[in-house]
Order: sequence, then C-alpha cells, then structure tokens
Amino acid sequence: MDRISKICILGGGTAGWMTAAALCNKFKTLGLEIELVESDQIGTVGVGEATLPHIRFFNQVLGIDERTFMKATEATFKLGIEFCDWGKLGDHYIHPFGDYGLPMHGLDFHQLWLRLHQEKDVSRLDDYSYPILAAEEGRFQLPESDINKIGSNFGYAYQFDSSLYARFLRNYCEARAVCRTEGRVISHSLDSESGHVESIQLEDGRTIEADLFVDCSGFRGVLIEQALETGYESWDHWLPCDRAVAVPCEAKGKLVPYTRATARKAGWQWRIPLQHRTGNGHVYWSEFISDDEATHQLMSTLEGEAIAEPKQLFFKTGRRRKFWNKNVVSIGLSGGFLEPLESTSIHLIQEGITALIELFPDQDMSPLDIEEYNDRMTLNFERVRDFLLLHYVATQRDDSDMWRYFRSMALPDSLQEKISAWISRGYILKYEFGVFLPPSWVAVMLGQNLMPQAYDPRVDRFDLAELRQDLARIKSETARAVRQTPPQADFLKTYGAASMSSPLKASRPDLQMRP
Amino acid sequence: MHGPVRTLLVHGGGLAGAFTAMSLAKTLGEGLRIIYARQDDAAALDFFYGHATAPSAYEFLRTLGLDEPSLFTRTASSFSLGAHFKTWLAGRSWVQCHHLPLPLPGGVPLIHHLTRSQAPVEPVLVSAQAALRGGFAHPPGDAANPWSRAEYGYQFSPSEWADHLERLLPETQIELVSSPVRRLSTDKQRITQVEFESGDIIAPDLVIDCSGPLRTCIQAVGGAFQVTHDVSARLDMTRCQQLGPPCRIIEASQRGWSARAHLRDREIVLFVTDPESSSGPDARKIGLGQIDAAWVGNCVAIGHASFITEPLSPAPMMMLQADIERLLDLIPLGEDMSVERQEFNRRFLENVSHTQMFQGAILTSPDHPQTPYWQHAQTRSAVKGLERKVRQFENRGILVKYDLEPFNDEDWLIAHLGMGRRPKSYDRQVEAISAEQSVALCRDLASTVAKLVPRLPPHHLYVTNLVRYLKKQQHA
Repeated sequence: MDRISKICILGGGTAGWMTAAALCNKFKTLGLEIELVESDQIGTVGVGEATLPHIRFFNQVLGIDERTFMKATEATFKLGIEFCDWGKLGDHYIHPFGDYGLPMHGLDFHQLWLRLHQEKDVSRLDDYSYPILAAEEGRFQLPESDINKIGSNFGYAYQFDSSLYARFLRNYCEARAVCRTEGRVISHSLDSESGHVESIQLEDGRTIEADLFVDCSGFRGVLIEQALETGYESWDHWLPCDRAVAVPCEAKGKLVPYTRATARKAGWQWRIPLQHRTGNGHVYWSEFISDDEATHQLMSTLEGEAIAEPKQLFFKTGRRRKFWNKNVVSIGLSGGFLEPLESTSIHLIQEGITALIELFPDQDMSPLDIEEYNDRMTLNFERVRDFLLLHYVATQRDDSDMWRYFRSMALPDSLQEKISAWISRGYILKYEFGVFLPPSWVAVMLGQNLMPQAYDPRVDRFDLAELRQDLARIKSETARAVRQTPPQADFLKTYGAASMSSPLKASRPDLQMRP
Repeated sequence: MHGPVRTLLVHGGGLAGAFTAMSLAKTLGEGLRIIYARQDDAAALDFFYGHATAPSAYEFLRTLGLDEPSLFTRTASSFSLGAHFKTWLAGRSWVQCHHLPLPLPGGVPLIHHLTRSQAPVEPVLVSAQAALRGGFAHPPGDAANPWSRAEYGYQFSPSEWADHLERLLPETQIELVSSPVRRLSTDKQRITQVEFESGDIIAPDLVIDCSGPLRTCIQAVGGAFQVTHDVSARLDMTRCQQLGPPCRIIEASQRGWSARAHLRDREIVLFVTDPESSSGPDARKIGLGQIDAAWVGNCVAIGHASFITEPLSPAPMMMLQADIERLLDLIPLGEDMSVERQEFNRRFLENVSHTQMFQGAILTSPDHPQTPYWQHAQTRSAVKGLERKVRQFENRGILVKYDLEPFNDEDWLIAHLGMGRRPKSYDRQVEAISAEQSVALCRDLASTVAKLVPRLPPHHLYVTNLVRYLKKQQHA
C-alpha cells in the first residue's frame, strides 16, 4: 500500500498550527513531510480564546510545559463559564467543569439536592460545587490529587490569546521540521480521474504538491469548498446568529478564572479575561440589530479602554457536508462553525485532529476511513449544536424579537425529550459520546430556571435528617476547601505561570493626546 | 409531590419476577406498596437466560442479596471467565473471555501492535488462558499483578437463583399473592384492576409484566411481540463429582449449537437447533424476537416478556439486568407516565439493538453451514450498526462504538478476532516503535501470562476451599 509521504496544511491559524503540531509529534518517526502554507496578509479569526479542559490533554501529549505555555500565551485558568441574563434579565449562573457534590447512594447528586430543595432547603446546587464557588470568589488552584477529597472532582481549562498560541505552536513545529511557507493560494489542480487535489499554486508561482491536504483556511474553505465544492449544511434556523464584532480592552479589576457570556437583545456578548488584556465580542443576529448598533452595544459595555479597533466577523452556523472529502480534510472553521458560547471551537479542532490521527489514511484514501471520520465529526458537531440551542430555548425572556423567536421555536425531538424528562423528574437523557456530559446539562437547565417538578423516588428510601446532615457536611467542606484556595492572580505567580509582559494599555493616538 | 403512584404490581415469576420484586424492595422507599403476584409457568423459559452472567452482574446481584457468600453456600453457582467456543463456525476456536482494558503501549491500542506483528491475541488474555487451563482465583486489586486484568461472572442455575431470592422475599415489605389471575380490567391501554382467583382485587398504578413468554399483562394492553425466528431448545443435566472449568463450553453443529455450563454439582448442557430438526421429546420451541414497545400504558414488560435472544453470550442476563435498572431509573411518579414510557422504550430499543449487534457478530460468518439454523442465523444477524463495526474493524482494527453499549471494547475485540476477522492495516502511531519492538512487546505480554496462569489453583479446588471458608465464617 502506498504510504502518504507529504502533507500540506493550508492556513496558519489555531487550527493549522494545532494540526501541524499534533501530526509532527505523533508521526515523528514516519518521515512524513509536513508543509504549512500561510499568508501574513490574511488575518486569522482566532477562534475561541476560551477552551475546554480537553486542551490540557492535547498539550500534555505534545510534551508542552504548562507554565511555559501559559506565560507565552498570556493564559489564565478557567473553571467554567458565567452566563448572565439568559434565563431572565438579572439572572446569572456558572456552568462549571466538574460534577456537583459527591456520588452518594448510587444516585445523581442533584436528585438528593432536589429532595431537600422541595423540603424548603435554601442551599443552591452550586453550594456543593467547588469550581463554582472558587470561580465566584476568583480563586484557583490545581485539582487535588486525592480523588476522595473535595477540590479534586473538577476540570479546568484556559483562556489564552489564540494568536499567541498559534505562534507558540509554530515555534514547536518549526523545531520539529515542519516547513512553513509564506504565500497566498491562487489556484489548485485536481486529478482528472480521482478528483483529488494534486497541488496548489501560490501567488509567487510556486506549486506545492501533497498526498493529503488539511484545509485550515477558515470560513473560505479554500480547498474543501472552493476546490471540491463539498457543500455546507446550514443550521441557521436553529442558531441564527450570523455576525460578531470583537475587540480587546484593558483588563480591570480582579482576574477571574472564568469566561462570561451575557445575553443581549439580539445575541450575546463574551468577556474573556487574559493576563494582559480582556477579550470581548458581541455575537448577534443581523436581522434584529444593525452592525453599528451591535458595535455600539459592545463598545459601551467594555470594562476598560479598547486597545484596538473592533473587528467584524461574518458566519453561517452549520457544517461542511463532508468534513473529509477525497484527499482534503477540513479542520477548524473550514469544517463548520458553531458560535463560541460554550468555548467549543478549539475543542472541535482537537476532535478533528484526534480522529485524523486515528484514521490516518494511505494514498488510496480508503472510503472507510473517510466515512468513519465524517460520522464521528458529524456526531460531535450535532451534539454541540443541541447543547448550544438549549441556552437559547431554556429562557423566560420575551423582551425582544430574537427571544420571542426562540420561545416559539419547535425544538428538535431529541432536545425536546431531554427538556421534558428533566422538568418532569430531574432525569438526564445520557449519551456517552459528545463533549457535554450530564453535569453540563444540569448546570444550564437549572441555571436557566428549568426546575424539575419532582425528584427520583429512589431518594425517598433515605432518611431525610441523615440526608440533610450528609449534604450539610459536603457543603461546609466545599466552602472550607474554597477558603483555602488562593486568588488566581496569586496562584499564577507562585505557580510560575504569570507572564512577564505588562498589561496592555489603550494606545490609539487620539487617546494618547488627551491631556 | 409524587402524585398517585402508590401500588406496583409485579406479575409473573421465575428469575425476572424474583429479580424485579427484590430490586424494587431494595431501592424504593417504604411509601410504595409492592405486590408480587406469582404466576405458574412464567419461568418455563428461564433456562433460556443461559447459565452465565457477565462481570457487570456482580454489583447488581449483591444489592439483591445474591452476594458471593450466599451464591456459594446456598446455590451450586461457580465462577465464569467467559465462554470457550471450542468448535465454532469453520472450525474456529477461542475463549470469549471477560477482561479489563488491554494495555495501550505508547498510547496506542494493543490491537494495532498485534496486527502489525501478526500476533494472536489469545496468549495475552490472562482470563482466556486461565479458562483453557481450568484455573481460577479472585483477581487481586494490585494492578501490578497481571491476574488483576481478569474479570469474572458466574455460572449458575436460573431456577436456583429464583428459588433463593423467593425465600428472602418474606423478609421484605413485598406483599405476596400466590393465586392465579382471574380477570384483568383495562381501560385505554391501562390495566385498571386485577382480580385473582382467591378473590383478592388490586388496582395497580403500575404493572410489571415478568410472565416470560406468557406476556399476560403486556398483551392485554396491546404490546405485540414480534417473533423473527423460531428455534428449538433442550436441556441435558448430569450430576458430577468434580466442578469443571470456569467457563461455559460452546460448540457448533450442523443443526445449531450447544453450551455446557459447569456448576458445583452438575453440568447443564443447552442444545439450540432449528425447530424442524427438533432434538428430542423435551425440546421446546422458542420464538426469538422482541416486543415493539416494552412499556405500554401503565404496563412494563421485563425479561423474556419483552425480548428473547439466544444465550450464546451472557446477553440475556445482561438484558434482564438492563430492563430492571431502566425501570428503577424511571419509576413513574404519577398517572401521566408519558415521559417515563418514552424514555424507557427508547433505551429498551437501544439495548436490544446493541445486544443483537453483539450476538450477530458471533453468528455472522461467510462460511456458515448451509443448514436451516445457520441460514436463519445469518438473516437475523443483519442488524443495523453491525456492518459498520465489522467493516471498520476489518479495515484497520477500529472499534466503532455507539452510546452506552453493554459490551465493551475487549468483548468486541475478542469476538471479532475469534470470528476470524483480521484488520487489513493498523494505526500508524504504532510505528513510533520498531517492528521488532512491537513483536517483542506482544511476546513479553504473552510470556507474563504464560508464567502466571499455571500458578492459579484449579477452579474446583479454589471453590471447594472458598465454600469451606465461607461456611466456617457463617458458623463463627
């Protein structure tokens, strides 16, 4: 069988460099030639500055030292996402990385809590979650290694500057013989028989041939769409937001270990705290708000001075009909787009890379490998989509056209069943594959005021007084563990992950000239 | 606010009835009334649950009161490391053993090293080697000991287990009714009232049909069992002086197959054939198949009442356990059971499909005998989802997984290889080490197993000592 000897990665954003890094590390002994083509003239979107805990595994496999990486990318720790104004105006809750409470009596912890709640106990389910309480107080430390201890059962991720992450990985790759080529693709040639991409031609006349192309060219999908016309399945009837405007600003106040997503009248706004600045953006549905107004809303709610001009982005939620088509695999935005409400963009890149490595093809591009890859990625995308949609539909808001649109939407059956089962008895329809596991569903449904009407009757087997005692103990131990946790900024310093750079300041000429 | 669900009626008997009644008693609060109405004949097909469980039964049985001390002092149960397919289709032979996850050398599944080195899997499977040699001991907790990778279930007699549990039922809050049903009253797919010959009348909120092939209650509300194929089954029992190996022995014949289970005082052989070549006067015709919806109205069918599959693997026992766990997860709260019903039926169909895939993986073979049994077996193995699993495995050893399957990666890997499916290629990540290193790695794993297995005590001696020890404990 003819082995692949040359891979060309098109595009040098987060997706491109993550792919290059993973491939050159995993296949370092195979003598593969990896060439990454990128152009400094083409900006990168810099998807998802906030990540999911899985990113740690990605870095670990590459042998990346956490402290070095955090310093280089201005990274902060992330314990979850705070959602503001989603259920109704004035609400807020944190979707944490980790379980609530401790497993007891073989039942889901939230069922025990529900029973006490129905007995007029006023504790929040959040009071039993170490990552939520630590996040609320701006504290952080690494999970305890003793899994029986409170403060061990959570995961964490990072918030980082994704262009710095791409640069960091570029250094990693270039030290491992990945060839970086500067240039713009102007055309491609297809094999007349197989329809495979044979080569791409650059503006300066060079031609690059490869056995496998990984398309990380972003929304344009230079190979997967422009060359192969693979087609796109739009999901904008479920997730209709289609534009965003993004801007960094000066960091103000306490460095919190979480991302914030605040619902707006025609979309939502993100706030991502990094060590040297804060990332902000407003995702919106252009049907209900103008670009100017969306930008104004964003700029008028920044916590510090803007340190760059706002950048506009256009997108269509959905996925490529085939993530992998012929000899082109699309990873990143070229494969599909889901708004960064749950920080899934980098995670989906990672899933794409993992699947590509496991199903790494030979020159014949076995249809079986392609089929398996596409099946897996489709499932990943669809499950994220349903979870994102939950945020929009589990709402009591009706203060704008967008919220009224979601309130009258007929849901996909699978999502409707999930919500009904939760409301009737706090039951979670489980699946095994897909990134958001039961505690995530609990967090969002409860956080957006979907309160179950009843609890699992198996809880009645346990003595109420004992149950109260057990839960009170977990609650106080959780609070104690949080009190013993340092503020994130202190932890970054003692851990050795604080960056050397000074915080970025607004430097626009008009601002500097102020007296 | 638990609405009006107060009275649960378990109707039926045998293993499904005893397991269900006991599970309800052990899990639910005192506020619910549980009535167990025994029905004769409900256990007639209990032998078709097979005579072996999977390792996943351990915790379930323990909660029911079938912990190891009771199993070994009150019943003739023994250990099971799996099934030895001694002569299977086209002369194949392997041990379908229970095993914890295999090592991942360099982070890559072992199958890719085996494929690359063209090495067989069986020598590295510690539980397969022990089964072949007839050795057994409880696997230790110490992960450094290779025997800790072994997993086990039990070989058992369904009627013995059911009898043992029935003796424990009077110690629970369960109300026992031992009179036949005279009349079932229904109203729009709801069983509203059950009248017994004794004159007792019960108005149940939920009925759990454990009547096996009789399907007394579920049929009354419209549950339709679809038979896909009939088979004929017969049991042969012989007393024995010495306990056999810690595995069932399964052999194929032109007309079907047989499975020999080894209990402490007897060997039980189950013969399954096509109904035309029926094997003797005591053979029973059994309709394999499933019910279209296992929960209709206020009636839930459990065990054989909802699904019958051949006990080629521990699948029937796994399914019975899954039925009960699914029910416990979804004990309804009020008269409107639509959410519970929908979710129960969704999970039921998913479990059936997963089970049929695994059974199909063992029955499907291009070189099957051209006889009625085997021809039928091929058609009923054409299950959605299985083809993808086989295709991907044969392509490059990928184990395709669906959500929450009962059979794990090791079960599938062993079954595929046992059935002669070989990956055409492997994950190239294995090339991080040289071909010689891959060979050496497989050889070393096998030699560790080969050194360990002869040191295990013979199954019969181990069990004899265990029983002696447990009895002494009970006296002390």
